[in-house]
Amino acid sequence: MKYMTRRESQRHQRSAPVLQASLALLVSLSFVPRTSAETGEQVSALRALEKRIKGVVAGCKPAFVFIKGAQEGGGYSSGSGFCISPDGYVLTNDHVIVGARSIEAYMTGGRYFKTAVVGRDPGGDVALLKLEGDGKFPFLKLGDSQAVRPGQRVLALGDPFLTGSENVFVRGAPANFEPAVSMGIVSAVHRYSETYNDAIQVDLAVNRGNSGGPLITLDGKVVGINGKIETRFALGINTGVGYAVPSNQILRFMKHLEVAEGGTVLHGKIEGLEVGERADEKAGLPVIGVRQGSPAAASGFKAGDLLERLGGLPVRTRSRYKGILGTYPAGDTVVAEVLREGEKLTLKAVLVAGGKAHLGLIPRAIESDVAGVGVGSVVRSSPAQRAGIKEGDIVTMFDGQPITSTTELKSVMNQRRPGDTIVLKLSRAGEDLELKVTLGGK
Amino acid sequence: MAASMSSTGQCRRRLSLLIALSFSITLSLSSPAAGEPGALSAIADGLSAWVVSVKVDRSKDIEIPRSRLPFNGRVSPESQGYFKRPKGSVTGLLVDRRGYILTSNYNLLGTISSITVRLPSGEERKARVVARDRLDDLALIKVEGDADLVEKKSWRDPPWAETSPSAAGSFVFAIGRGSAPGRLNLTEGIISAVGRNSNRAVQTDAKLNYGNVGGPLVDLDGKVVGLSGFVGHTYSQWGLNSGIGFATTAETIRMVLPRLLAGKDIEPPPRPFLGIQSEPASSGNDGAPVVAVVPKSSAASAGVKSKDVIIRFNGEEVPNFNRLRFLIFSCKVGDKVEFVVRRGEKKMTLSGVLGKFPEGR
Repeated sequence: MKYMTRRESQRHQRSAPVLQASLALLVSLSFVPRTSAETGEQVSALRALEKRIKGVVAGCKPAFVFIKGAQEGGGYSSGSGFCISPDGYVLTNDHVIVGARSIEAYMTGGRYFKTAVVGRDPGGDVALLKLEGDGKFPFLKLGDSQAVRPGQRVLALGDPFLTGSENVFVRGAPANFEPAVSMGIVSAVHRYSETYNDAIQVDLAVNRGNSGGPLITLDGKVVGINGKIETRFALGINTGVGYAVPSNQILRFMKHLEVAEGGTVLHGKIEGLEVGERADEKAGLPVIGVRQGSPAAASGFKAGDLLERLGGLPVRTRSRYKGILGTYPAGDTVVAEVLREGEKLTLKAVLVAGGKAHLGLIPRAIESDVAGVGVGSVVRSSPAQRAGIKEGDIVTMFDGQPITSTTELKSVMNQRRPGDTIVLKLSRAGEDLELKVTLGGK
Repeated sequence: MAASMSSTGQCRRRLSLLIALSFSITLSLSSPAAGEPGALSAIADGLSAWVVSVKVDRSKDIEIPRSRLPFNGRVSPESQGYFKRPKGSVTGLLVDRRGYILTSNYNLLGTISSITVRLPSGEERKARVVARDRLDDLALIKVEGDADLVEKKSWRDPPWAETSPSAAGSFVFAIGRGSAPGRLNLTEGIISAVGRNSNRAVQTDAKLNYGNVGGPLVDLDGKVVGLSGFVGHTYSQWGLNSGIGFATTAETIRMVLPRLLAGKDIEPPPRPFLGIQSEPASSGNDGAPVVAVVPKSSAASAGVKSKDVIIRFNGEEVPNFNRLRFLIFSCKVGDKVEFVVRRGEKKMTLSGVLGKFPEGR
């Protein structure tokens, strides 16, 4: 951005005589080249930057994926994604594919791939997909989002307004399946906005259809997934405020996404820890309560502690506290640095999945001699469906405990946590079977 | 408040009276680039002789379909203005010494009562529409009078780029001219994608708002790589910048300009039509299921029946309806096509000649 300051310093030195002259004169005058050491330097700086941008774009573009989710009841949800491995794993936003009964993927140039959902993180708006097909896919590498600094130049690849996957100019002419690249800078880091716990804020153009696309540094590394914008009046067009899910958060969830078998991964919290709204001048977030016997108490937290850092990052507000925790999956250990009576302590907290355990079957009275709870329907992509429970099954046992009513089923479910694995005994068409189900979270 | 960015993403709904402010932002971008030193203002100044301001008065404007408006256009009376075209001038490019000016056709839609061109000298001249190119969103206007606008010996063509940008990532600058004398404005961006509109246009993230649309997009060499347009083709209303802008390439303009100078309009080619109604495949990978066949269409004469599933088209696999649509649209009206349908257990190869897409569909 140096050239901006140089321009500023010369603001009054150049006038525009051409603009006051007559047109005929103008035409001839306008060919006088306006070169000076100053402008020459500025142009060569821009040319060097242009060369770098073109190189990054050319290198990253082949790994870009256009994603279309065929929705129940017709219509498509469309967005962007990118390959992250030579065998065809693709990252996108969860909201691009949520509710889709099937997913179509097209790589740059338009080659079609059958696509399956590997894992979903609705709490972080990330989904991992897998393109089916042989051969080596071009792919992008995830970089270190912690190294991203405000002011850093970044690029976004995407399919805004479907300009690459539909021909918006002439209806009925084919699209060219070229992703669009926009350039801008990182405006801020560590922003908290709903499911965007620790977002990178950018000023580059991101619009509908950009969702799921990569945010790329000038080193060609992906540091985030663009997925959200601030907008007003329901216009839904770029305002210069966009948010990306940071790559370090995605990397922490990756091992869970890879084994989710199409299901969802869980976020966690420090169970039993109550913190204040924001820090005072002491520059630490006050711990205002620790539930007895809770995991927080077991980690060694005490009411009156000042929480200074979490996961190595300073904490000043409750939203930042939630934001940092939101970047870790349930089960991970987060290091907390607290100040207690002038002494600095390092505590380790294991994150516990929040919310209620989710099975995903809707009971219905079924006429049968077998005592149990009839399955009226199974929620799509739910733990029950992935475990193989089918409509018409009768649940007879839950972890060895007989189930005879919906109330009993609810009661045992209330004692389980998201992420727990349970064993269900079922009666299907007169035959008994046993299924293991890993409960989800809601 | 934020909106997720898939096309089905839900927007949080809130209206505010700040709509009027958005307008003034749109129109106040005509800051004088001429007073700003450095290489970028030199780029703008280099184009100054050809960049003109165009004021269009109309008795009636076109309407944006309500379905494309936020809240389906159901907003309070004081907010209605947002969905109207802004008042103020737009930009054009002088392409011929006789006084022919090229601008975006979008700038000249509606029922026009008068067109006033303000030349770089500050002189104002009335103008009329000569021809429109609806395929490339271009319109050619001419200042009134038979005499040359620029003497033959002084005239030079605008510095057209010789080739279209070959790859995304190059710096480009959109140049506009406001109605006040001596005012050029310059916005920076990059080429976002090449090959748009069947290789006739490029995409850019340079800020294009109502006033600079129709002006040139220039590169670091000061060459005109295209003319901005197509703002009505995305979800931005009346050219409010979204960072998704387009410019018809200099190469395309060189191709169509002689025809426009001769007063001939250019229309998009007719769309090819097979004549089936389909839906997304259930698995996304099992062909394009035929829900209905349009009577007398090429599909009907080829013998396609509803419940058939089209699995190949012109030798290419058809995994789903989206792909089939792409393959059909890659053909021209009158092309002979061959396709394979699955009917129950059987597979059969059928052929036909693509018709014209019926109007109103």
